[in-house]
Amino acid sequence: MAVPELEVGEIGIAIRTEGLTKVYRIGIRGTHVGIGDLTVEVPEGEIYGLVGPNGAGKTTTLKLLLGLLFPTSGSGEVLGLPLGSPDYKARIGYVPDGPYFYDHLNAPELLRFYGALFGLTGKVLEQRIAELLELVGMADRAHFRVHEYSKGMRQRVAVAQALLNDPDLIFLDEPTAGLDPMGAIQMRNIVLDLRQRGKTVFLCSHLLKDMEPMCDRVAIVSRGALKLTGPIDEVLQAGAGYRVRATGVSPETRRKIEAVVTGIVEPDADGVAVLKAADQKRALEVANTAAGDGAQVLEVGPDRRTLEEVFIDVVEGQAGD
Amino acid sequence: MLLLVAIGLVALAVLNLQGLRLLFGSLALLLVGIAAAILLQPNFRAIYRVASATFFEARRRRFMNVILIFAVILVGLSSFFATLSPSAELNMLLDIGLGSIRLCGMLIAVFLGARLIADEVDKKTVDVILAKPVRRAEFVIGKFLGAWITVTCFLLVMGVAFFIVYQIKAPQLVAKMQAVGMALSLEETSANVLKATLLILFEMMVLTSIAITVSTFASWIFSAVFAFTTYFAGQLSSYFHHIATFNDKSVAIINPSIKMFSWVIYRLLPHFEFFDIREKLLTHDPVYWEMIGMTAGHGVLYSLVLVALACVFFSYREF
Repeated sequence: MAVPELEVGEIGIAIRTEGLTKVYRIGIRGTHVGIGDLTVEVPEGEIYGLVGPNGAGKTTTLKLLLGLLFPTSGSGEVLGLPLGSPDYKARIGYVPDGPYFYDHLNAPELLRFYGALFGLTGKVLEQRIAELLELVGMADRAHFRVHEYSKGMRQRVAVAQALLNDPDLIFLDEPTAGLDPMGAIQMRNIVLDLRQRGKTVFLCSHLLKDMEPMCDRVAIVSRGALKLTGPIDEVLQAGAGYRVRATGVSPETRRKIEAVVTGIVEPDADGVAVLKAADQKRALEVANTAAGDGAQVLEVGPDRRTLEEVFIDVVEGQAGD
Repeated sequence: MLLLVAIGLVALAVLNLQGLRLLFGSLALLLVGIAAAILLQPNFRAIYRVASATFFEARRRRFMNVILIFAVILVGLSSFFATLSPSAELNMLLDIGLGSIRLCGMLIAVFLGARLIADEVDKKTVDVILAKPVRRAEFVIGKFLGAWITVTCFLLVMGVAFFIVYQIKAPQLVAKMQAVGMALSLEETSANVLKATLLILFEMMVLTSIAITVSTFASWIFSAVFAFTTYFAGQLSSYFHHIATFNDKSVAIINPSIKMFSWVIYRLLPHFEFFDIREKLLTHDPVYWEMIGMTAGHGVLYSLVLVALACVFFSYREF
């Protein structure tokens, strides 16, 4: 069954779920909701982040999309094909959390095996293997057996095997876990490069600081339920109010705007202070007051929280869809 | 899933029929298998890749090499039992040699078959493979083929070792037996040794398929114990048949539940005793190729049905 073709100009949906639910059976009568009533759409060519604390249902969702788990109810499509269909698996890549491979093989042998499963052989495969090992920084350690690898090295090989078939959609489960700072930066660059090349990336992680600069769209799950989803800018700006960035804010100005602002961020190295207001009207009032007192107003616009702040609010039940 | 399992069990029962019913049943199963293969269009390349990876990984397992060395030693030791009678010595050579091959083959088939898929699931290496364009059935078939090829290679090594020992010891023993008037030829006894070893190969194919099938839904320990139990029960299939069909109430009254249980066991379990022709070798009876062919064919079909069941179980497994 082929992947459906799109009309020119039509934005494709790489992943679509509708009420996707997985309930685990525990013991004879117990149950646990791994993920409940998940309805999301992941547009093609975007980096989609699924974030949540441990046990939130991220890996469950990932495995449902990969066909490793079967949904209790609901449905989903990956690249236009039903969940679990082997046909879309030729166009996806998967980096599991804490990947395990055949211990007795080295990286090229491992990639040769996985590449063969995609039908890649001969010089094409060998060239691809060489390129990928170079990309993930494993070219000079290719001769080591997997059982000699550190966690970071396994993670790098995991990325390499996920990119063998030049996939249109890549699933990454905790991709920066176990990587040193340089490795995490390299991973981020790889992910951004994939988007640059028109790939779709579905990321699961609880490392919010790594996710925030990468994702175009984010969904926050907690205790098996989708709490919040949307474009990253909208998610981070929601409920954040407005801000005024200005230099030369005098103590007199501060006194005048004290009752209006919701917070003040002290000037940074460049002398830029951030004055926060609840809404646009109050922000303009603050800006006018500051300008009137001789401050130089640089920007008046929506404020933006960190993903971590949003995450904490959501998980603690202070925000909703 | 229950329907497919029921069909599989019926297929196993058909393979334990006799005479023309067995012939027609086997042909029907073969046709169904061919039709399924044409309809499902398996990816033979993927099956080959999984099988070859399984073979290269399996042959490196330490316990395999230990068993192999043990088997070769046992086979070698079979030639050191000198008794007064050449006939008894020849029989001991055959018994211990073939028995060692069977014992070690059984250990390798069961432990390898039980652990292959179970280890992949425990270590989560199966997650990465099943995220690739490999159907679950192709993965199971590849694992089975890789396991059986590994078992076959080990059995061939043991078989060759025994054959060498046999060719060293047997000529003098046969000559002494011929001198006292026994109608026996070295060529015939050597051919029978080959036939017996060949049957062990197919016997271990069935045993491997049992271990793999159970491992698709159970732990490797349970799979190994189940396979061993099935193997020993399968050696007693005539006994179960006798119990199931016993009707002479003047001799004994058998509980209907026990008769039913015996009937089910006889119908479903493989008749491993048919693969063991040592008794014919020890009594120097002829062993016909037709019998070898039918027994081997039975083993192949039985294994294929079990592997098909394994594919069904594995298709419902979650990771």
